[in-house]
Amino acid sequence: MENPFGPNRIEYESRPILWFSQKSALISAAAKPVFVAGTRGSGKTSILRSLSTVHILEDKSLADQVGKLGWYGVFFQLNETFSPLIDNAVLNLIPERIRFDTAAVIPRQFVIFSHYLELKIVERLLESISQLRRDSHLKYRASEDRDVALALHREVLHFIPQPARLDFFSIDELRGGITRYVDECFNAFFFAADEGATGFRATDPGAIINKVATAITPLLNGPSFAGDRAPFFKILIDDCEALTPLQQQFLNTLVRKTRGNVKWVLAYIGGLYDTIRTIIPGQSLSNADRDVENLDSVDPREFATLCENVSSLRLYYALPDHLRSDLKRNDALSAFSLKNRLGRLSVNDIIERVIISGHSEGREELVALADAAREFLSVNLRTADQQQFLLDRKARPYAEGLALALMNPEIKRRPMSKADASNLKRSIARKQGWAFLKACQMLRLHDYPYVGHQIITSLSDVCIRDFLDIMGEIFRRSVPSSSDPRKLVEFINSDLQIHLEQQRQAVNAASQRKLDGLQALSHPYEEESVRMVRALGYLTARLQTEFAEENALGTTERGIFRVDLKEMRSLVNRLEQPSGKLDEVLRRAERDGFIREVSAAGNFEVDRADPASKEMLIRLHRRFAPYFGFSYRGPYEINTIPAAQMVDLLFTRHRLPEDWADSVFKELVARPALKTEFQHSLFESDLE
Amino acid sequence: MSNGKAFLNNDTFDLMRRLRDHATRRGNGLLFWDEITEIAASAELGLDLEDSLLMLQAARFVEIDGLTKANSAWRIKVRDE
Repeated sequence: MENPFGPNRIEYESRPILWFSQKSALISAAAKPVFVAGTRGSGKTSILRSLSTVHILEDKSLADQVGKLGWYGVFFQLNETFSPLIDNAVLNLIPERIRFDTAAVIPRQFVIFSHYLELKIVERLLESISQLRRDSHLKYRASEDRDVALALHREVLHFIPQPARLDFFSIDELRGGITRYVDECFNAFFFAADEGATGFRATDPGAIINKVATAITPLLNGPSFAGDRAPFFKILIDDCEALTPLQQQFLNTLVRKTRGNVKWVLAYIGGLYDTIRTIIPGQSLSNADRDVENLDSVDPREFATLCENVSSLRLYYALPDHLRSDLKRNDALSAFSLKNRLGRLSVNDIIERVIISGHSEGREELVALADAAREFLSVNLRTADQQQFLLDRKARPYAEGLALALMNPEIKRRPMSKADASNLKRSIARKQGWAFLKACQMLRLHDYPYVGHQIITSLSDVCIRDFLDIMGEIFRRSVPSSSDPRKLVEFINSDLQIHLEQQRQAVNAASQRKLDGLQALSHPYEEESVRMVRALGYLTARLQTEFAEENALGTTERGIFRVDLKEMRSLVNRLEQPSGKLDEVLRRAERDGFIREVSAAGNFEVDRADPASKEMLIRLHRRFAPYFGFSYRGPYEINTIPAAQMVDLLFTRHRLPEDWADSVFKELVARPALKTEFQHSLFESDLE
Repeated sequence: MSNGKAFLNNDTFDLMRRLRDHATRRGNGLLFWDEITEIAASAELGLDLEDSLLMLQAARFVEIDGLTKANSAWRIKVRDE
């Protein structure tokens, strides 16, 4: 039996299971173009595919989720060969005398880029229409097929060679003509010495798509379409970060130039796509022209729903058809209860479980702290306010005990009002992550128990691929691969919590695997990336656990690092190292999901359009938390890494990452000016 | 494909007449395979449609485009009388 949680890269799945999420529904109905930003593995490709008409109509489960279609979606994936290919071709088409005149070259590059991209999109669009007609999803007649193809050829695609027989001309044949034309142009670009022999016929950017969309619209009717109004054309382009910065501006210009019922949906890795500039003087894209959906800033609850639905769908479809009737909840989206299986566990619940199951040294101390906290809270709080602290829970209030022990007496005064009680609760809640680490330290645990629904979804760091990796490990431990598929039914039907030790092992293995994955990347900068992740990992763990005790207020949950790029670049230049290396290391680590670039408020950065930016704020992906032993939440405080230290880490490499972390830690503690810049908590509302 | 049992009989000619009527009514004679199946189903003709169309093509009453592909990709042109 295959693991239902792997493979987790949609491109490698033979039959990907797609969920039509709320986000997809929102994008499908948007009247404006939508830019979808997200880190690697955040579900961008799934959203785009769940909007593609061919994918919807080929997948019954998806079609059932979507209902009637009010749009026609064409999915198109850019790959890394696209950009150099088109740039190469452009070189051949630009007369030598103007090759160095940027003002003359850029518009020509734009025309060639858009001509090529538009034809590739139209090719895909026509291919999908013919396919859907053959499969009876569209109902237009053979005569309409021929007439539309002839009209398109006459009015738009006249540079395609004349068809052999007009009475049998078809959309499919027109599509074949486009494919041949594009191939011939490319062959000529690369091999023909004579520029005139390329056969390339430039068109006004945007014109092909606009006209084709208008001509095709009458064909879009069939049982799956809403039919009450002309459907939008959604052009769904994935991996837009593969375009060069100039090509990104070309695409934005094309977005700006196509109006009417053509709506673009562009997906890219946040921070690696220019969402603003076009090449039209004085015109840029603003919120009036497009919406930006940032998948990384999803609400934790929304992400938890996504995790639950995706798990359920994957398990449901992993089950052979004849066994589905044995399910307690025979519904693809709700068959499996992730919350029940992982358990709704608070930090106190987890510590309680560890304390009950072992006899470690710190046990008495923790129990005493918790009992003192319970007493403090029940004596000092009014009965009405006590409910906020859930003192009646079975688990003792360990986190509260640890947090109260840290507070200095004036903060710990008796809460007089409801507002005081809420403030106290908030400052305790902010220390949950730290309390978890501290308790694990006191209990002398070797591997910390990052378990339960809340912690596991938090470790996934809004990245569905990381979540699936963790679930894959959990599944592998719960259901042996050789077992009867009935075991799978039991796994889905059960509402019992998966054993915490199994969860702990799985989470640790997944964390370790992520680091191994980084080491295995065969890229020249892998070594620097691994050094950086290790160094920042050790540093984060030390800052979060050791620093907090000295300065109790507002100093937990460190782990955002400010890197002064300007100063680093000048240092790197003086050392005569390749200056691009620094940006490359950071960019790659971010793109591969090992570090996260954040804004000063701790949110993911999506609009960093300026490649020459002076500084960058980064933190490690939370899935590394179990490996290095840092908090599964946050962080929300910034520490500046001295530029010389960063250069030493990545370039001169005098020390091991552990030693580097140790020396930076000491420097940060010793130099108060660099210590901390307080940020508001992101997690005040994120209580259990 | 054909099992060779088809031949031009009354039913085949009936189908051809219906196709011609349809073409005249619509003003054009180009049809997808599923448009033909609808016409044939409404007439309740007891014949193998694929074989019958092949016979009609052999007799040059119709012309089939995409013969090497699956039925669903066929386009059938009804020739004028």
